[in-house]
This record gives sequence, C-alpha cells and structure tokens, in this order.
Amino acid sequence: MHEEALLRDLVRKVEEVARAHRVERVERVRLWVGALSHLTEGTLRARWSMATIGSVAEGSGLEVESSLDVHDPRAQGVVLQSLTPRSPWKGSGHPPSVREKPPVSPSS
Amino acid sequence: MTESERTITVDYLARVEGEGSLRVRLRGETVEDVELRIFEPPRFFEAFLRGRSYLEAPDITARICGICPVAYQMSSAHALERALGVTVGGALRDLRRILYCGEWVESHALHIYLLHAPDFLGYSDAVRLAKDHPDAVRRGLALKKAGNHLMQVLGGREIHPINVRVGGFYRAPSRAELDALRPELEQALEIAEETVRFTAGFDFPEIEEDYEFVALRHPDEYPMNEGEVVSSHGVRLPMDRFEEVFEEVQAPYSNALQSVHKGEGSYLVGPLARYALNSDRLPPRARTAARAAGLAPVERNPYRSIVVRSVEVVLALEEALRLIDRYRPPDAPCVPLPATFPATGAAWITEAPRGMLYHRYRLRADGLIEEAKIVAPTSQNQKRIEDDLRHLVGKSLRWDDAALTTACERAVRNHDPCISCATHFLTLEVERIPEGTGESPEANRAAPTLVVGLGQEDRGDDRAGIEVVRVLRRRFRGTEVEFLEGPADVALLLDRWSGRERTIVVDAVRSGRPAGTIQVLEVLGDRLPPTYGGSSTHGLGLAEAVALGRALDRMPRHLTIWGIEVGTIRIGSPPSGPVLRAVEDVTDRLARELGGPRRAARET
Repeated sequence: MHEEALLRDLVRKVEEVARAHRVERVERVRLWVGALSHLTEGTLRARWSMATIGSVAEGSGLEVESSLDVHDPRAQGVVLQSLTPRSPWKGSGHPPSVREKPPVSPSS
Repeated sequence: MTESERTITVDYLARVEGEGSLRVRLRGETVEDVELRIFEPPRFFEAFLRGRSYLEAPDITARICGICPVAYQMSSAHALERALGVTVGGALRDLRRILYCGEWVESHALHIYLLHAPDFLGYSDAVRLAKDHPDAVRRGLALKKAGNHLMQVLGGREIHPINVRVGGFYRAPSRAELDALRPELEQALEIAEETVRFTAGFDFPEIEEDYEFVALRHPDEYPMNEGEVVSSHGVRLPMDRFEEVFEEVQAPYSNALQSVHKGEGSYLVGPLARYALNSDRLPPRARTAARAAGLAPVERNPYRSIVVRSVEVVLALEEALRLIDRYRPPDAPCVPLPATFPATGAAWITEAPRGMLYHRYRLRADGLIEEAKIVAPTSQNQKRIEDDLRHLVGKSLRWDDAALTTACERAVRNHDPCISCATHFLTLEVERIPEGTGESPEANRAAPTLVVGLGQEDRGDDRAGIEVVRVLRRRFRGTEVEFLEGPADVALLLDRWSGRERTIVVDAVRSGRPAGTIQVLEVLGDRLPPTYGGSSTHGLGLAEAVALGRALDRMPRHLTIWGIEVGTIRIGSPPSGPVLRAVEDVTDRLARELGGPRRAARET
C-alpha cells in the first residue's frame, strides 16, 4: 500500500532538485530504504520505470541501499540520497554538493 | 563513476503526500474536464484468489479493507454458500447481522466524527476538533468502541475478524457473552441518537444532486446481507444479475476502477442511497431520530449524508440489541458443507457501510476458485464523486485554488471514508484557460498547436482519438501544445482551432479499409475531410466544422486529420486490437512530430 504516493513524492523531489541545478536528464538516482520501511528494494525497482515516465528521471537507473538497522531514526522511511545528471560535468572536476535539511514535518 | 561525473547530494526523506489528485480544466466560465485520479495501484486480489480453496475466500478478501473487512467476509461467504446450494438461517443468520451492525457502527463513527464533522465545524482535522469540542470526539470514540466490542465478541477481534467462515462461524458466542454487551450497546444507542441531533444542527450547503441511488432492498428489514438490487431509476433485479446492468470501466487517468450503470452513467451507493430506497424499513428509534432531524424520505444533499449516516448508527445499534434479545445459541456454529460438488458459481451482494459490495466466484469441482470478481463500493461511487465535483467546480469558478481545494476535499468526504482519508491531501491542479472571445482569432495565439481527439468514451473503436490525446496530453504537460478531446462539436472546434498555427485532429474513420488503417490527410484548398458521423453531436461533425470554418474564416493555418479506420463500434466494449495498435502507432508518430520527449517504455 501507498508505494505509488511515495514514489510520486520522490519523483517530484528529483524534478525539483534537477530544476534547481539546471539538470535536464537524470542518469541515476540513489535511494536508502530503512529497515522498517513498508517498501522493499524490489517494490521500488518494479515501479521506478513507470513512476518516472515523463519526468527528468525517465529511463534513469536506480541504486538502492537497504538498511538493516532497526534503530536508525529514519528506519521507517525511504530517503532520496543523491542523483547523478546524465550529461557529463564539464567543470573543474570538483562537483558541487548540495545538502538540504530533511523536512521537519512528520511522515504520515 | 567517471571522474567527470557529478553527483548531487539530496538527503530527502520521502513522504506519502496523498493518494489522490483532482485535475480540473476551466475554460472561462465552463468546466471542461474533471478527473479524480487515485494513485494506489491495483492489488490483484481477484488474481490472488484463483487456484485457492473456496474456504479461504472470506479471510483473503477481508484483507482488502481495514475499515470494512466484515463486508468482504459477508459477500464472499454468501456468494460461496449460494454456489454450494447451502442456506444459513436462524441464529447464525442473526449473528451475521449483529456482526455487520458492529462494522457499520465502527465505520460510520469513524467517518462521522473523525473525518466528516471537522468540516462542518471549521476544523482541519479531528485532533484540532477535540481541543475545542472534546465531548463530541469522545462520543465518536465511545461509539467506535461499542462497534469494536461487537466485532471482537462475534468476529474474534476488532479488525480483520477471524471467526467468519463459509457456512457460518468457527465458534458461536454464548448467550452470556452477548448479554454482557447490552449495557454498552444501550448507552451507545443513546449516544447515537445524540449524534443525529448533533449532526442535524450543522449548516449544510444548499445543494441537491440528481443521483441515481442504487441499494439492496429486503421485504422486511433495512438491507445488510440480503435483498434485491433496486435503483431510483427503476432498476429492480436479483443480485446475481448485477453485471447485466452495471459495469466497471477503467479511466485512463486513474488506477481505481469506476462503475457505471450501462447506458445511463454514474450512480451512487452507500447511506444516501440505502436510506432513500429503504427509509420505510427503519426500525422505530432510527425512524424517530430521522424524523426529528428533519430528514426527508429521500435526501439528495450529499452533505446531509452525515445525518443519514448517524441515523444508520442508531439503526445498527437498535438492530444489534433486538437480535441479541432473541438469541439462542445454535446447535452448531456452522451448517454442513457438501464434501463433493460439481463445478459451480454464484454472485452475491451485501451492504458494506459505504455501499453495495459485489462478489462473484466460479469454482471447480475440486473446490478451487477458478475466477473471482469483486466490485467495491468505492469504485462504484468514483464516477459519481467526479460528477459532484464537476458541479461544485462549476458553481465556484471565482474561488481561488486553496478555497476550491478545501471545497473539493469536503465534497469527496461526503461519500467515502477511504478516499476521504486520502483526500486530506488532495492535490488540486487547476488549468484556467481564458475564454475565447468567439470573434478574435488572436485569442488562441498563445498556444500555436492544438491536438484534438474526437470520439466517444464508451463506444469501442470510436474512442481511438480520445486515447491518443490522453497519452499525448500527459507526455506534453507543461509544453506549448494544447489538447482537446470528446465528441466533435462544431462550435467548440471552431472556437478552439481558429487562428492557430497548427491543428491536428485524430478521429475514427470508416472508409472500407481494414480496421486499424491509418490515413493522414492535410486539409488544403477546398478539400473536405472524410465524414464519419460516429462521434459528432447533433449530426454536425468534422467535415461540417471545416466547411463552416472556411465560410467564417475561422480556421487554423495548417489542419491535419489523422484517421484511424474503425472496426466495430459497440457501446460499452473496449477498442479492438488492430485499433489499439493503430492508437499506439499514431501516438508515437505524433509525439515525434510534436518534438516531445522520447520514451522507451510503453504506456499502459
């Protein structure tokens, strides 16, 4: 239950981050799945290609780290860790790193 | 990772933001489109059941809903008993009705106090309501607890009860166990009557909807487990003929199925429908409460469903007490089931708290389920809820999006506790298009390209054009391309394509070629497109629109018609295979022509 709504939120966030960084296409997305999350790596993979249709992440690969730590404060959640743009970075070789604070409001 | 590659670190905890969204398209003062989208993907329960023993059906299907598991157990058990030619009567029949009463009380109390009442009192949720009106929320919780206790004693536990089986129960309660419930139920009955007075005092928007109500009707009791299907439009048929008159359809934008009365459209199940068709079957205290609350014998104001729901809580408690009074434990908790039987099948409907729940099974001679079909009340009401929203939006055009969102969420909560829970997070997407002046072609210059899909929704191959546009619309969201879909309407076509750089029309054609043949026609000079009256309104179709557009100088600069040859046009049937393949082909070719994002995966 609820995987579709969660995936939509993830894709929305990927789009938002991509826009902010002027990324046109996303090559790879990395997720962290808490030990107590109601979703599994399998569920996420199975739905990723559908959930990203029409978005900057359409056709992107998915990397999933499944945590086993039930005491992690975010053990019940799924975390969008990072995304990799498709076009090669034509810069100094020092990729920018942006860290955003997780939202304060609780997940439902 | 290559060294030229960068990674953007995000660290964002994903949230379940909501299970539904509402898309509204307004053109000036007209509501063009209302789509209630439910994201929750299919759960394939009907497929799970195949190959399982029929004895498992009540427990498997109960898992479909955490609020109304008893409904699933009742519909499945009755359908299977009918298939086996077994009747469950006497005390076992009463016990089932008592159990159902428990679920009605539990579900309705949740809906009334925790989901619906805050709307009328100006609170965003029950937690905030509880701060100012703690007594009201306490009443809700007391009712819910009484319902829970009934479920616990009869069903073995409050949620997903485990004591129901095909043929009856695993264990029947003793007389003393039921008697022990009496004081709490009597007190709950008084709280329920207080609830009717409480909800009747709310301010209700003055709205009446022209519903087709559909519910069960029983010769002498308010319907729960038995009856025939009746509707306010004159339908009257045995429950096993339900599928002859009603059918489920898949809307391309929603993962939840919608139901329609074939050839008629949407209909409503649930408390308003049950009450309208059975108000003469209310027992004395429920009837008195309804009258004192000022309810008419038929209520068409969806907001007043909260009062009707409260009356049904009175009824359920009154019924439970009446049946407990006459209870004598049965000799056995279950009637004997035949050890062997030929391949068989049957359907049954019961009244879940939120409306009719249909189950149909086909069994092999070894007792394994070959086919299962389940039509839930939520899907039956989906289309009708869209109609409510369409009317609401039409009356509230000048509201801002926030006010409109709140109003739409309220309208959904009138009908369903599940979507209503989800729609506390309804995402509203309003597309406001300035109205064409009807005179100035300049009005449309903002979007140079218009793609029109002509056709009719539920007429087989005739919906080809609509299918193409629906997929393209999603793919080109946020771009300069505009879309229009529906039956050909001369006035609307002229209004929309006049003055555009380019208009592409996708339509079904019939020219004698094999079904699925695609023809592309540039409309130049005096040539008229092929006529095909299938999707026009009042006999004025695309050809007439072109002719008239030329006469009035209201044409796009370039007009291209993509014709898809149709096979059969049968009302209510899906498009045929060749036409579906042509739809995909045309969609891809148009996507390339419009210069949109390329896609590898097929859209479902």
